Amino acid sequence: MNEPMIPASVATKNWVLKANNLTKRYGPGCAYCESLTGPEHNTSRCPVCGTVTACASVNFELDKGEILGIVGESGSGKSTLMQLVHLSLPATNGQLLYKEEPTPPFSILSPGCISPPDGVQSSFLVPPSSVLDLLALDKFARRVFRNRHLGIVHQRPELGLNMNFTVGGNVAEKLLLAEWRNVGQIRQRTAHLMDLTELPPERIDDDPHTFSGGMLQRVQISKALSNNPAVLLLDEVTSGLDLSVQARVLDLIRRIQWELKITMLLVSHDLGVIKQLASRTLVMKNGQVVESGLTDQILEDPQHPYTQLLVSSAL
Amino acid sequence: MEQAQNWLNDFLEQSTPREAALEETADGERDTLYNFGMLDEDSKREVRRKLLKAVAIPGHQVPFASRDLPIARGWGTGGLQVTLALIEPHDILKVIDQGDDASVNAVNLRRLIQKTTGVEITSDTLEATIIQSRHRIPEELLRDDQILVLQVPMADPLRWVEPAVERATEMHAEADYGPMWVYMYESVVRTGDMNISSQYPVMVAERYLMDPSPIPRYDVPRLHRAETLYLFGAGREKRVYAIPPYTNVAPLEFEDYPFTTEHNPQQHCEKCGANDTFLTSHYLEGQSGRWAYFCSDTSYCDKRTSNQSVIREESR
Repeated sequence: MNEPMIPASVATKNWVLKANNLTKRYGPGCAYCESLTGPEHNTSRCPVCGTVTACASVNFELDKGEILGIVGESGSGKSTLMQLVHLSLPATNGQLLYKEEPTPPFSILSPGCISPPDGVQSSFLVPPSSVLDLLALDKFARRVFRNRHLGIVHQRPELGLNMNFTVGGNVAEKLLLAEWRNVGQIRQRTAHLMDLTELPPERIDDDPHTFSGGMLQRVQISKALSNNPAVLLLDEVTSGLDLSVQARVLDLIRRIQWELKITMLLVSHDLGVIKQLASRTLVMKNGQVVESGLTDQILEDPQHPYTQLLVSSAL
Repeated sequence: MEQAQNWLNDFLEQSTPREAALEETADGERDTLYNFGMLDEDSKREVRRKLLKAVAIPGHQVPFASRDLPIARGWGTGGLQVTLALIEPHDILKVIDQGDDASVNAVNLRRLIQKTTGVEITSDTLEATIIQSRHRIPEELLRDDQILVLQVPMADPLRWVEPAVERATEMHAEADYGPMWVYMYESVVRTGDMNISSQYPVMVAERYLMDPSPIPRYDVPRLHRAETLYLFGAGREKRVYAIPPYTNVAPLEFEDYPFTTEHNPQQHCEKCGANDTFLTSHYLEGQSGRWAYFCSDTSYCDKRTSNQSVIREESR
């Protein structure tokens, strides 16, 4: 395993998250996997060994405060990439570098050293001006990092919420994991987040089953925002919602990004969503990034044939 | 076939007759038809090995090869196997059930252990070297040369929030106790307090979440930095775990909802007058039937009643 700490010299630009050759394969792999898969072969499955290359050498930089969109058809590797960034799936190869502003440090390797919050979220920290390779962390450190620095909104609320707990309990989970131990403060913070995401705070103790699909997405957003994440991951957040609810959720995300300046990684197959939210976009097909650039540029002047097809289909 | 039958008849004639063995048991000797401690030596070694691992990793549940016993699963087979694996001829044994030396479960377990080991039996907490208990820690202060074996019906505290054993094991490995904290949070939100009367989840050595067996909340603080070795056996779930002496044990609690015990100083035992023990309520029949309180630990109560000296923790 690589050393988690990376020399500071690599960190000169204003990025928060940087992927270098991020690869995920399902299967043993062989010498032909690279040459016989990809968009030019229109498949992710190696015809020789059957290995599926869900993500092949993906590179990107996620700048502080921006929304980076990832678009592509079903099976293109968008969600796999999202899972790799969320550290819920081990990568086959590559680096995922994380850089953060320095605040009082504490060890990431010892659970006993996690300091409790004092009203403001503390951070999972690396020494000042240095970079952490997230994929080189052990499972425990990954979990701590995920709980403290990442927020995720899943396509299906059942994946992101525990339907046996109340709405307030679901939002409180991340706070409790971050060592919040005052019920009054937790409820205050939860009510504030519900208010922020246009949910009625008086329903804090209600069962999630009594909420509509759009409201559940907002509960997920509240939960994801609860620990002031450095990066918010949005995985097909508007799929399955009707158009008016979609519009409200998108407005909400845009407003939150504007107010809180949160860095976001947005996965969608809907170019309309990408157009509304993302400043830069990656286009994926068969596990590879076929085109990347400013969203407007990609939509108005697509270069790759697949992107041209995607844009023309959407229009 | 005939040869085998003859061999068996010869063997039975040479062996101690069953009636004689029972008479010996009554005289304090063990039934020689059984191996010492009933379990075979390999089984005892298996339990001891797993107990060593459990002591080395406080609060961590260690799987073990739980054997079939002549009592039903759920009736204390875990604690019984731990006791049988550890007990030696010079040990003095005490068995209690909910603090009571004379309850059905305690009497039968004691009879089985005594019959298969012949060890000395006592009801005095301070005399015993091994105490097997269900649902209580004795009132008197236990020493570092004593072992308390607790019977456990449900080994994993995460069972309340995560029914999948594999996932719960992963959660323990990663110290991912968020759902358990949410459970506690919701308990406070719904009822205004932690509505857990027994099996109160505790964090052992700042690492593992542990079920302290169904002891009342009153007994939970006594696990913290205790001198005694606490061993927990769950026969049905095939798990053992331990709290070694002087280990930090902290109940889950919130700053604004701290852990409290159910002790009420206004109530006192109607037999010995103690108001600093865990009391159980009994309905007294009669013309004016009423509820009365008595010490749960009958041995402690008897000692106080007969003016014998008792040793308690100073802080209690």
